[in-house]
Amino acid sequence: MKSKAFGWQHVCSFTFVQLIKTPALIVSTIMLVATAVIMMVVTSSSAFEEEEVATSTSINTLMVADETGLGASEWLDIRSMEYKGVFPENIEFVDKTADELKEFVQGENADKTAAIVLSYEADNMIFRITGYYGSKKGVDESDLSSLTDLIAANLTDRLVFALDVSEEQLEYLQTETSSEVKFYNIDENGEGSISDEESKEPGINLAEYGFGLIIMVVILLMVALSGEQVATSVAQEKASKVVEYLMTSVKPLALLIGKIVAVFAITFIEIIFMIAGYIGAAVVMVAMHPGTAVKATDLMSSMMSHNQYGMEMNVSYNLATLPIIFVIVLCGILFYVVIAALAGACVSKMEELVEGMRLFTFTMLIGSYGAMAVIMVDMMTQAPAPLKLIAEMLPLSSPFIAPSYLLAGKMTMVEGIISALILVIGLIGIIWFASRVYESLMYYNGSTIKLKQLLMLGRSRKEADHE
Amino acid sequence: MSLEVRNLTKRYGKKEVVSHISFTMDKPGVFALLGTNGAGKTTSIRMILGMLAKDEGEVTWNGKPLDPLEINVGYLAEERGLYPKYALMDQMMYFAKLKNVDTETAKKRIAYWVKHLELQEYFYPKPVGKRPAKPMKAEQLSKGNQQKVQLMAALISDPELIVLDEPLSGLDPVNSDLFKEVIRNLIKQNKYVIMSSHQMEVIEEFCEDIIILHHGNSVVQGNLNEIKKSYGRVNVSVKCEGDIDKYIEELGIKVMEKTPEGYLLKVTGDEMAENLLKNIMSAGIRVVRFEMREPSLHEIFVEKATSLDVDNTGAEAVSGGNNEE
Repeated sequence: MKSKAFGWQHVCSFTFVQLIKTPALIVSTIMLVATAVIMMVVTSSSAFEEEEVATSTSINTLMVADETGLGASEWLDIRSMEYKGVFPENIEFVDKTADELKEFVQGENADKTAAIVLSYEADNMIFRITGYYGSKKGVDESDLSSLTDLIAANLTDRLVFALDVSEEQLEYLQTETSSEVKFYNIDENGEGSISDEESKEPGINLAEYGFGLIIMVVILLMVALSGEQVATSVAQEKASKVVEYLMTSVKPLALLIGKIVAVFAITFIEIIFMIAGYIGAAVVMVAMHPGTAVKATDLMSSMMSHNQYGMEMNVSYNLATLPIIFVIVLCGILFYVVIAALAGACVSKMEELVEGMRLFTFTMLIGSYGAMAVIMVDMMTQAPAPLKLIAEMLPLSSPFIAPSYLLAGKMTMVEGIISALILVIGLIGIIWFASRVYESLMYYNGSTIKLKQLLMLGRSRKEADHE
Repeated sequence: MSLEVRNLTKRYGKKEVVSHISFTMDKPGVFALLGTNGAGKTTSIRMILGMLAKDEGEVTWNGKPLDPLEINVGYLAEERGLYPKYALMDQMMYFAKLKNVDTETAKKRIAYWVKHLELQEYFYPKPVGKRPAKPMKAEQLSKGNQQKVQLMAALISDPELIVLDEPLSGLDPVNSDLFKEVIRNLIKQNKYVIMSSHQMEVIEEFCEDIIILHHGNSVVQGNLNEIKKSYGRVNVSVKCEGDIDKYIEELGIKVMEKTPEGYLLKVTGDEMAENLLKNIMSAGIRVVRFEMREPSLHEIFVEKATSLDVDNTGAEAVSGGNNEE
């Protein structure tokens, strides 16, 4: 006895090949790739500009005078190795005053030479890093400015070492400080208590917010593309009446599986093309800027970190959650695609498809907007725990929020597993429901079925077909 | 081989759209499923093919429940369907694969049917100038040619059981003859064919056994010849060179049709017809034509459908042959 899924491979390969040939798909893929390329070019151009500044300096020789006694000659050497391009090749540590250096950089032998003086103003309790360069000596002010900024950014580290701070003390010093406000509350009985409400600190930082949104948009894109294609394919088969012939060769379940797998594969390919376009554009950008230290794969992080020197982005990737993320993304897309297939099966004519797709669009928007709202609230303040939990666990929203939160370590492994389990149960539920109504919907030739009718159909298993 | 349909029933809510239909095909040939629009033919066919869940009843092929995935079935649906935007050859290869036909056999069979149904220019278009030929899509074909492609799809797997739902509707006389020729060949090849049609002369040409459905009930069923015999030679066609109305009235004969070509009368038996002829001849009226014959299937069908609609007396089954009611 053949299974109900018998023949799905043929359905899948036919659907795949025919969809690949569709001009609309070719155009949409080209547009997606073009969008990715444009996104890459636009967003990375500023990073490249900054990088260009950082990778080639107009200064050939830097003279450094350290009046602080912090031993600049040791650590500036190390920094110059780390930030090649920002520091000139020749660094000379000199025992001169600021006035002597000012004079020197305007002298005859000061072509492409700049000077920096490190000093401490005890009255104002301030460290000063002052750069000097002569006019018409070929030194770009922005290069010298970058240098002084970089030294200033690293001076704290130097101070820690100079003051002989231990690692433990250093850790203690680097611990973030938080503040909170508690208020004394007097209730109706006149009894007072301290509110235990915690201060609202952001649940995620800006980088995590950007990261979460990017992952959400990619998943939303996959859901929307797959859903739209499956619904169109199902509606097309119904509208052209070819489905009646197909039913003598395969069961509706095989048609459903074959289509979903084919469309999923196509969407996956589209996304791969998009990512390839993005990376390809990055590679071209790098190639067009020889000598740059920026690698294509670093561009996304450089975009999100807002650090012109490529310092580490403040998102800690929890790679152990990848298998759960894979399950959530896969089941999430399938969940929505089955809804899309049902939406496609609810119409009998292609011109009714937009109306029929409301069911799919509505659920997708509820899920994705819900997830986005939680991510945004989490970035601005801290999303209320119950709201966050609902978004992370609800099958409609979890595919959009759980992957980024899991990867960024904002959801625990256990929470991720529970979220995945609920999603799998939801998926089984929607497949069970689809299997109850899909066969009837295949022969239905009336006006678009509304959600209420669909639910009634599932409950009573009443066939909606008409001769 | 045999096809047995027992007690087939389908309900939508409280309404029974197909009610306890039973019949058997125990030898190859064409079995006709007749009925007015909405009588339940297509629903019955869908249930027979296992495409639609039955509320009651059983359909067996060689004693086992009929599953279209297990046996080789060909189906030409009433609601014709092809993918409008896809190439014809791609579609046909897909349909063949779904029926487990290997690529080589599929190509041979497609070539055979393309030639037989005169579809060469659509399946194997010739290149225009130096440009390679563009594969034709279903939407580029006329309705009749699309119907031919669908018949081809139904027969691509060389099926044992073939269901043709209104195969000749919408065809021009030339293509209609082509389809009839195909059906004749299927009969020669000892295939089991179930055919639904509104064209009674086609049914009379091909079918031995019939079932007429009305509002989901079987109202006439059995061997076509025996059904006709059971009615007797009750139809009389008369043409005379004079007025015979008076004699028809005297005997209380029902006039079915009165035209310049004469009368079509319905008598209750041979005696009534003989009395009419005797009275006309006694009156000295010259008889041009006097013919007694069994009713045609068309007449039986129309009579059953209209009488049941008027009387609304429910199913009145007339049995004939070896089929069950």
